[in-house]
Amino acid sequence: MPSPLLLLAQIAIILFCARVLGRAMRLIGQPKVVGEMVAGLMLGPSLLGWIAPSVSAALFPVASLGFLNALSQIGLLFFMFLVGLELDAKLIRGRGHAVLVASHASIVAPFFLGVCLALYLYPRLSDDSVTFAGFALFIGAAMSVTAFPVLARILQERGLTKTRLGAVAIACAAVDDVSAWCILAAVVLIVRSAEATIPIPLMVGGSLLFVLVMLTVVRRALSRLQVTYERWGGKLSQDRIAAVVFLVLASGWITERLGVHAVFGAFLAGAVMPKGEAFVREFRERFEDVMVVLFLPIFFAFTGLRTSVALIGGDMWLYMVLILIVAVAGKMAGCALAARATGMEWREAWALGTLMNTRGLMAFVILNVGYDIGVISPALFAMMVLMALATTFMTTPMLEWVYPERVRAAFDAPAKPELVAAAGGGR
Amino acid sequence: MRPVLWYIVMVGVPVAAMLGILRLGERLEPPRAAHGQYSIAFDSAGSGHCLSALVADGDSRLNIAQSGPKLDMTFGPVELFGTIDGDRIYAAAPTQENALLRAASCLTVDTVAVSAALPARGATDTHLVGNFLFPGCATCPGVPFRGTRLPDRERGR
Repeated sequence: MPSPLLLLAQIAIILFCARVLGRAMRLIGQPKVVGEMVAGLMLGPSLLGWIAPSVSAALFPVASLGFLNALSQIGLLFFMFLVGLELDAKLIRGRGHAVLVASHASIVAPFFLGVCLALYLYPRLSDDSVTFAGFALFIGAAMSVTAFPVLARILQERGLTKTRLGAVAIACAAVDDVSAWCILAAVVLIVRSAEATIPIPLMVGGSLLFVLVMLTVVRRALSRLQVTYERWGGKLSQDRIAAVVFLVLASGWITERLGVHAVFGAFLAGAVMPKGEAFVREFRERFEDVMVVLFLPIFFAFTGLRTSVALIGGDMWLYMVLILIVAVAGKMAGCALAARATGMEWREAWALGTLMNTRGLMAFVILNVGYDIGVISPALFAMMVLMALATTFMTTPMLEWVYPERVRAAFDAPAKPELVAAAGGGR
Repeated sequence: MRPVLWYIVMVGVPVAAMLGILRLGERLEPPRAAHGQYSIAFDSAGSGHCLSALVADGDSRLNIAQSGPKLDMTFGPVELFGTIDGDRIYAAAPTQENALLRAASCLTVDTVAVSAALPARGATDTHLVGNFLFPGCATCPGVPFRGTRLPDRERGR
């Protein structure tokens, strides 16, 4: 068992690096989360392990990583809960066909191209313990995801939340979010069904039953939480917070047992929470600080410790470039073409495509799930992590290029206030 | 009507095509899977001194990480890089990492390598059988070993 002192030192160093790099990224106009992702990579074998292997081995010995993993998994569960909590059906409802076509096209285009690319990558980066379907579906899922919280933050920082583009982007990202997690749940079920410890009908039937119970019984029970919250003058007791924490953990446990993955249970627990504005804000404030400051940097560091850029050698850089091109072209062009086809101007359509191309930590979540269940090889994991980082990094400068301030005024029109309000917060 | 048409073109058609591609991909043959952790048992009669550096800390587990045909192996203090070709595995350690080996076992050794074979495709056996090789070291002709794959702690590689 690793020493508690070592764990404390690890956490302190992770937090320090995340804060410093987060601030540094803010100086160059990037969201803080990009700096935190980079900090995680730097602490792993890609930098620290490369320039100072003995320091890396002393600070992050393999035997100690189980604790960091446990902390990062708990953090991930509560992050997914917050993602579900922020998800508001109002964002999607009444947005019309344009949003539906644009958002689904922005999922399907990169997914399709990812599956096509998998034909080339499968014999080169996988092995016969993984089926082609599992491999291809995971590549597609990682390429098609959009980081809703990062996108909301970029819109907020660029002053775009009150524009038509901002409202459509948020609605598209919300549809993407729900669709992506549903797709991923299905993909994990398909992959795990090959080596299921429980019968497949029980996995599928149990998962559907769980979703049904959450959407009906649990949602109704939780609505009382908001009623009492309002009755008590907008205060949440610690007992009620404990009840929600219990719900998140229990949901995660159930979906993990059903073979889907704990993150889906946590996401669903957030999604069925009442959506009153003050209620959501209260919960977000209670959870977000500890999440953002403590758990997410640990998650990024754990991802970084799994990522070895040194594995990408020789012709693998060609695969890396292909992955990046396919991811960007699929997401950006797919979304832009669909938005243009449904009536947006080209500038706005490309700006929407650029925004939807930000993958951030959502891709990290998918990649870690894929790595955990053995579908993604170490080299492919490193490539996909770099792809996720690059697409997140490029969003802000590309948006500035595609949709500069002088052009914005011509397009800007006030959007519905409820859409704007729901777009706030997040990372 | 127009959005429905666009939906069919931009969503329906690619989804249908994707199903075809998934079927096509089933015909591809990826490399054999060798990744995992193996417990190594040596047949070291007469060449125990060659292994003294490798198993100095008593850890006789061989870890193999795999990305397609490329392998990254760790055994004790040595990291070996190699490939898998059909059922055959060959991996070698970069020379500069073998100061330990030189000091402990053979003054002239250039490198350490592993040559091994997987069971035939479809076999339920999960053994790895091969030799540890010490090219350039006349007193270490190669040490036969048998590796037994240990159950995964988690499914990650």
